[in-house]
Amino acid sequence: MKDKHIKRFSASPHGDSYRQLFAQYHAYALAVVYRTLGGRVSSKDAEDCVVDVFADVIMHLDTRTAGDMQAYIGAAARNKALNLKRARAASEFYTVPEEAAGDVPDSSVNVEKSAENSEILRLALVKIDELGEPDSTIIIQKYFFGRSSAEIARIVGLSAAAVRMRLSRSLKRLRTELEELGVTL
Amino acid sequence: MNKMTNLSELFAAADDETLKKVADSHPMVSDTKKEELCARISERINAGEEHADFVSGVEVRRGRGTSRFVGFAAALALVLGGLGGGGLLLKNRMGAAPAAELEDSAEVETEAVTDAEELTEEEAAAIAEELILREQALMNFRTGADMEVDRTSPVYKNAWYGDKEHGREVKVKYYRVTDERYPSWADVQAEMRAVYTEDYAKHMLENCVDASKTDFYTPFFSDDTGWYARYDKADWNSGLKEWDDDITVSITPDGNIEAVASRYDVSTAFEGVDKLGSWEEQMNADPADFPRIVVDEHSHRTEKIFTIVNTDDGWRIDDIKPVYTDEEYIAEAPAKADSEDYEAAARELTDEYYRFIDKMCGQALDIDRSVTLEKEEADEAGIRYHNTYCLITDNEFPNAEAARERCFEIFSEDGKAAAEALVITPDEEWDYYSGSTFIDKGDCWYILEQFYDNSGVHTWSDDDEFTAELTSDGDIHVVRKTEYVCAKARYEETREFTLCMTDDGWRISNLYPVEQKIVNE
Repeated sequence: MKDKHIKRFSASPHGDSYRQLFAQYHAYALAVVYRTLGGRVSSKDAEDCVVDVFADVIMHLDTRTAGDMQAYIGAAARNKALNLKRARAASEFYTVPEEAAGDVPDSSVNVEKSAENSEILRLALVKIDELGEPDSTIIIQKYFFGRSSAEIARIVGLSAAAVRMRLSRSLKRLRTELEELGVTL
Repeated sequence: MNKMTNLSELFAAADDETLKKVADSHPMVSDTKKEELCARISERINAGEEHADFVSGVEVRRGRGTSRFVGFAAALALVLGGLGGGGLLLKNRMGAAPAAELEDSAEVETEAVTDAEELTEEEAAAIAEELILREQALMNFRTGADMEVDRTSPVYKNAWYGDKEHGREVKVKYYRVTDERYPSWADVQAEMRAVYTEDYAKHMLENCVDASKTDFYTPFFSDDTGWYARYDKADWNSGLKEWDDDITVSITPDGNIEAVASRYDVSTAFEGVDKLGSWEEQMNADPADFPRIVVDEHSHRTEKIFTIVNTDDGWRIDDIKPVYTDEEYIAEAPAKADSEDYEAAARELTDEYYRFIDKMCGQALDIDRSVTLEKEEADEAGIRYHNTYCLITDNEFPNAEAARERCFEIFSEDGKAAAEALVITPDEEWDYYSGSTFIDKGDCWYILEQFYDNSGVHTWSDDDEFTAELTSDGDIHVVRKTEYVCAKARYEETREFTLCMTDDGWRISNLYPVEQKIVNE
């Protein structure tokens, strides 16, 4: 019965919607998980989190109150990641204070500084894209999502050593490019 | 000029919109992994559905707080409603909407079948699988991983090793190929033509080098007695490679077949072979003495896209595009421009090493002899030992912690070992037998005066002997000569370093002195 459902729905426009939801937000959900856990997570744990997020979203979503889907999925992913962080901390006999585990952004951040950083980030992302593949993916996965060289290696199909080498070279190029725009790393 | 702390901190402050844009534009997982995750989500949902059946009639509490469990079908409708922003109400599993959806999907399925290409997906999958497996067999044979040879009577061919000016004549060992699948080189060529299109077969055969001539790089050759493979094929190959079972196949709009195959490769090496001095030693060594070991336990993924076209002679592989393969990347590494990068990085890091070591073990460190720690201790025989430690006033290393941190900036994980080798002892733990070179008093530290007086400094110039070579592992092997001057004498010193790339940049992972000879006393 299960397989029939899945087969029918994968063939139907409605089945595609389930996949569309996943296709549209899986990368974002993964990114939220990685960032929340600060790189201290294996790809397996991150993927488990994302599976839980989408299963929960599909099973429990109340459209009357869901609001913006991206925000909903982002919040679900963040909570799942925090639960994992707390569970891990508990098993390591290390107590993470609730407020510390929450990773709540500091609302007192200087607005001007924030705007400057946004512009720098925008420039950095443009220059990273200009590096081309696989270097742009390597830098993003490393510094945006905090993934290890070994995990990045699986994504881009290189060895971990090759990833580290490419990272070093591309960072050098990136620094040079950004310095020409008056930005120093 | 704007300043920012570092890339990680900058990215950590990105808002959710930026996070999504970046995540969407950079692959987080492969298509295969996406399918796997989708399947797991379905299983999770349906596992919950089964559980609900099993406990029907009993309230099931799930998730956080009160939740309504919906069947998979209704869940999809819910999602649709959520995506469209409409106010779709929760439907009962047995309600009309899910049933209607089932009927619709059945119609769609039927239409899909009617509109299918002449070549069905199943047929395309069968063609792709057969060709990819045959190509795999060819590759494993060509690399030597799956090649039967006769090792009892190797033949040696004269070949020229190196360039015209600096090369030399060498003897290269070959084994006769006794593989029944390919009794001759012509049989290999025939199989290639059965697997590849004519153009691609030519391309692959060119990469085999002409088997009718012999130079140092010829992997095969033929003569009246049979055909032969170079020793490294059979003895030192990289092992069998096998694609995973789940080959993804699709039919392109122009009627070709596109198949994606992937596998995880674990990096291996032959233990101890790096101790052999030259390729000739390796050629004459018995591979049985060098067991194959795993050097990178984190396997890396190889993924290739096969384009299969229908020719007059049947379906053939017309192109194979790797995503990014390790072999392809390593092939880039020896390019001259890259060598210059490595050389500069190697010179800079080894310069840092000498500067550091001259402070930790030499007289480059600033000290104040007027401020001392006098340490005295008697041994069991009553003999008194006295050591004078002088205050270190060096701005670069105002305390012991600064020196420990510097170890990690120069050395890899071995930085910790390097830090421990400095023999820095907290003041309260000092005793004569600790052999301390340094005494740590927290906000300041002291160096053994006798040690300081007997040490020296290194000097070097750009003309001094310096070589940096990229190894097959992506490390840099450095050989460097410097002069070392101390109270006793002046020495000419040669050291070898291994530099490895870490998450924090190049670091020294190994070093050892090669030679130290007195120049004058």
